[in-house]
Amino acid sequence: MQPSDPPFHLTNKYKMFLEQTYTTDELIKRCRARERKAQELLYKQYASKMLGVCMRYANDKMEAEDMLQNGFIKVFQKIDDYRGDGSFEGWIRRIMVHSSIEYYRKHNKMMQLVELDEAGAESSTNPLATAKLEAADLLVLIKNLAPGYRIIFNLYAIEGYSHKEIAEIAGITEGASKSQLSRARSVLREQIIKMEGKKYGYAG
Amino acid sequence: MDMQDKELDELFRSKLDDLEAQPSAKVWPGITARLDAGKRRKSVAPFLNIAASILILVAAGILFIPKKELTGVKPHADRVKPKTIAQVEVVAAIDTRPSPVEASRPVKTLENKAQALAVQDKKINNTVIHKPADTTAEIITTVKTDNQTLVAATPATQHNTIAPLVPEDSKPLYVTTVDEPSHTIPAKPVAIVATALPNIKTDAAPVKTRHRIRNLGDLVNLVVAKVDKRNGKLIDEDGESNIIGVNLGVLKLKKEE
Repeated sequence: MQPSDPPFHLTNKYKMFLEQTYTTDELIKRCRARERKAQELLYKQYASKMLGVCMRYANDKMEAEDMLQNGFIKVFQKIDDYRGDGSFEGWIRRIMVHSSIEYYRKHNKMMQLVELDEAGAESSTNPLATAKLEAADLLVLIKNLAPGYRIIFNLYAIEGYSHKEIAEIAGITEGASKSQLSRARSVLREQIIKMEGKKYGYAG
Repeated sequence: MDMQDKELDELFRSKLDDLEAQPSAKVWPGITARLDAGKRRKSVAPFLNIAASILILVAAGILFIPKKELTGVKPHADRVKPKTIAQVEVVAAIDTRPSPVEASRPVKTLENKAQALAVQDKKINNTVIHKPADTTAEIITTVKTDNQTLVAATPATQHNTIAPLVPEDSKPLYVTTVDEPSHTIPAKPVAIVATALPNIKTDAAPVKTRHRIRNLGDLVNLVVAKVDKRNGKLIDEDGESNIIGVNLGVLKLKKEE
């Protein structure tokens, strides 16, 4: 796909309603021309959503912002590579995921294993209670995972990658991906139960 | 266990998939700074490389060519004397283009020139002015000033071909060096040269003959002299050496005369 050739029906449709603002395709085009204003608009459009992606991989917000920054720099540098197949947001999102993983690789935090407390894995959870867990609670649970588990769980459960893809992205074997995923799940399960217990405790 | 893997995954996905958070204000400036840094590095790097390689080539050329000639002559060169000689020599080279040197000067001139060359090399390469602190009195001051003007003149003109070395500069130098030999310079060659020069200048002005090129050092010396005199054009007009109209800065190739 040519950079200067966005899908006609798309641009036309948007132009009818949003005369003043950029369509995504125009924005991409201008970003390819390295227009700083367009880059900023693009950043503003996706920053908070993408920071949400990075937060799931990071230990804290500062780390997440580092990942976000690296990711957007890659977005602007590689924007010529965006082929137009698949959504642009999905493309950016994939870059953020890669940026997050690379961040861990650089800081040698990849694939750390934690000691598992297998005892808690057997207890049951109440589906109704788990439904009440808020996003913030779950985010805390994910953050408490060791980075290796966290990455695998994120990639598989939330981003929807297959084990084969995860193996490529994270640079591990498929078997390792599978085993780490199941360990991550059992840790999470255990933590959920603990958390629910606390909630019940507070409730009465 | 009650909760299946899929349930667990779905729980996290549904809650966290649309997670959003507002990044702090410093993230965007950080991005632009790094984008700009990358740009600048890209644009500057090739020019820096070219400039550096040119500089190295020029330096190497000036450094190595005359040194081969110097090996036999060098041993008795002191620290200070050669400098004064050098400066006198350069002045001579600048002012007495049409001078039949071989008549007035003994074999020493050759050595002098070689030494002068050596000193010039140092100056050109390092652009360091040797301060003759180890020797005494007035010579030093005169030498120092002379050196400075010369040093300022030669490399600048050679590289930029802009700064004109005005002949007026060299004349006063001339006088001082001529005046001094009686009490300042005890060495032999300088006296000879200094005394010899004015005569040459006065009587042999219109004559077209010039230094005979006996070695590479002479050649380089002459070239430098030409450069100085001609406002930085690296042009050799005489028939003996076949350099006709090279130049550096504005890129003009001169062929006439």
